[in-house]
Amino acid sequence: MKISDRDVLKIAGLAKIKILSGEIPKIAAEVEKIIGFIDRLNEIDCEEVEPLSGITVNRAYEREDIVDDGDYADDIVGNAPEQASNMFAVPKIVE
Amino acid sequence: MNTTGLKRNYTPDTYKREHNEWEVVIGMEVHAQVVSQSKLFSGARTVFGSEPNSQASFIDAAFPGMLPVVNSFCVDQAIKTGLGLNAVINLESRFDRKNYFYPDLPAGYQISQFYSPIVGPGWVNVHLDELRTFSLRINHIHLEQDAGKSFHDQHPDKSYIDLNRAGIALMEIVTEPDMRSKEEAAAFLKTLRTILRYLGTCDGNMEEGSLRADVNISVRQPGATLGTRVEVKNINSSRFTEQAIEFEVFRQIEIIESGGRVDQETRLFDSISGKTRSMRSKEDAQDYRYMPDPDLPPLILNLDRIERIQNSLPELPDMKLERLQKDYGLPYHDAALIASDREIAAYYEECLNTESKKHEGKVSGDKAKMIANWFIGDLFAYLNKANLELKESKITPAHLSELVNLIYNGTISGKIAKEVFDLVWSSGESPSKVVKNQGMQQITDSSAIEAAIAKVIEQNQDKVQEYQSGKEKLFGFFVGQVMKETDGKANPQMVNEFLKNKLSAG
Repeated sequence: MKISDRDVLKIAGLAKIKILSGEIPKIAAEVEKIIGFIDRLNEIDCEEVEPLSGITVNRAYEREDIVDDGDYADDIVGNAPEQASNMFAVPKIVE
Repeated sequence: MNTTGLKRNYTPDTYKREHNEWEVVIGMEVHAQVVSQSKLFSGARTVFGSEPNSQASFIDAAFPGMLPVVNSFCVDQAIKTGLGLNAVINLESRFDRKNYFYPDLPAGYQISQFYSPIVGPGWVNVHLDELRTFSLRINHIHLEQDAGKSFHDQHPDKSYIDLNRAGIALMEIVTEPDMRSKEEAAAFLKTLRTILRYLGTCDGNMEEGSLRADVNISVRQPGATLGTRVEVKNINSSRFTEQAIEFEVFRQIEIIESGGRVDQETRLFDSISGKTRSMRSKEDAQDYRYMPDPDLPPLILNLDRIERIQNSLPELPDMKLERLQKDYGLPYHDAALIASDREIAAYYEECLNTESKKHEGKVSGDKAKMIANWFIGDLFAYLNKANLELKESKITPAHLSELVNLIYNGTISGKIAKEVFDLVWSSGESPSKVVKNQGMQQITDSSAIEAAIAKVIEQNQDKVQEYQSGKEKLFGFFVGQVMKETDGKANPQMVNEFLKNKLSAG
């Protein structure tokens, strides 16, 4: 599968990663290689295999509706680079 | 299961312009916060307005290594909602990650259900008024997490993030584009809110954001294929829904008629100006890269569970509306008002139960209507004035039923009943006790009424002569005097009858 410069920029945009224009050809080639490797999965015929979303258990375990967590706001914001009144302070988001 | 399609028993209005006629097509995605003690995937509380981050757990804050486990009750609530909307319940559903970056979404993805939602197609009947009804199709309902909350007004160049709301269960209820006017859209939102409140699956509190709608709006010439739709985000009232639609319809018609094309985009509604404005356009349309969440195995339901929930469903507003009209002959307007809220309906039906117990299981249409009048006329007026909720009223359903019986059997007149009502309202004592204590029984003893009439005639000889010489308007004066003489307690029909005889006899 061919990966264009535009594809690289789009993926970088979605991932919020800054890429310098000089890096694009190198990254495009690398991503193309990775996709090519994964593409080999398409060679497998799984027409008759049921879709599987996990390999450990086959159905969700459900918990009861009980409050048994919370009340540690200090720990929640403890690792934040910046906080105010137990909230995360981030650069202003303007919509 | 029934799969009634789109139907309406009337023709919706179109927008007629100089050269063209336009029809609006509306679909909705409604986010309803699920009523539960703890969050969808964590054991943190879900209370509105708590101290910042006090109800965020490490799971909600997406700390590394945390494993989400689904809340069984939230699953039940989604099933219940699906059944209440006549929908198919999917025995197997899955959770997916919806990826996007925003500071109030710490994991960088929202756990949602994209490929296989828990609830499939359904339908709901909506009444616009007594005569106009339409039914609308539900496409599906899926479970997902709510995001945290951002505050933009606390600091000049910072936004503050509180994760208390992060992870609370939401049901996203997605309709087909079946609405054809702003009126239908507003009516649907109200109906949905009522149903959810009856079911107890969402409190419907729009001010607190428990119910918010994304509205998809497009216009077309009647019969043409669907136009390009615009999505207006996060509307939290029926009135705003109407305003946003009104604005969008004219904006879109304007663009098309002047030769342009409507962009497929997401817009924000500004409730102050009543306008919508562009939020993001198609070029940078979100690409959510949905993928199955490897932390969460498929959600498998069995039929017993669905049947148990089906059996726990209350009578829903539509059925109640019909029953109140059919069984008690209530006019549509009264029945619709009573059925519009589960608490109101419960109060009224408790009145009817009291009545039915007293009278061998029977409630006459007369009394049902009288109770309805006192309930939605008088009691509502008192509650509004005192700014109280129905459950805070000292007047109980038993009181209301008793009051109506006192009028019905002639113990008090309708006029005195207003005074009795007022005293019951302030004291909480039963109407019959109030009537007895205050000596408010109606006078139906004819000799007592005749005596009062004689006295009034005696004292107003001049007026009697005027009346007899043709000034018939004075009749009201005599009635008033007799009522005054009896402290308003004389039976009005008897007073009228006796006075007429007496005065015409000369």
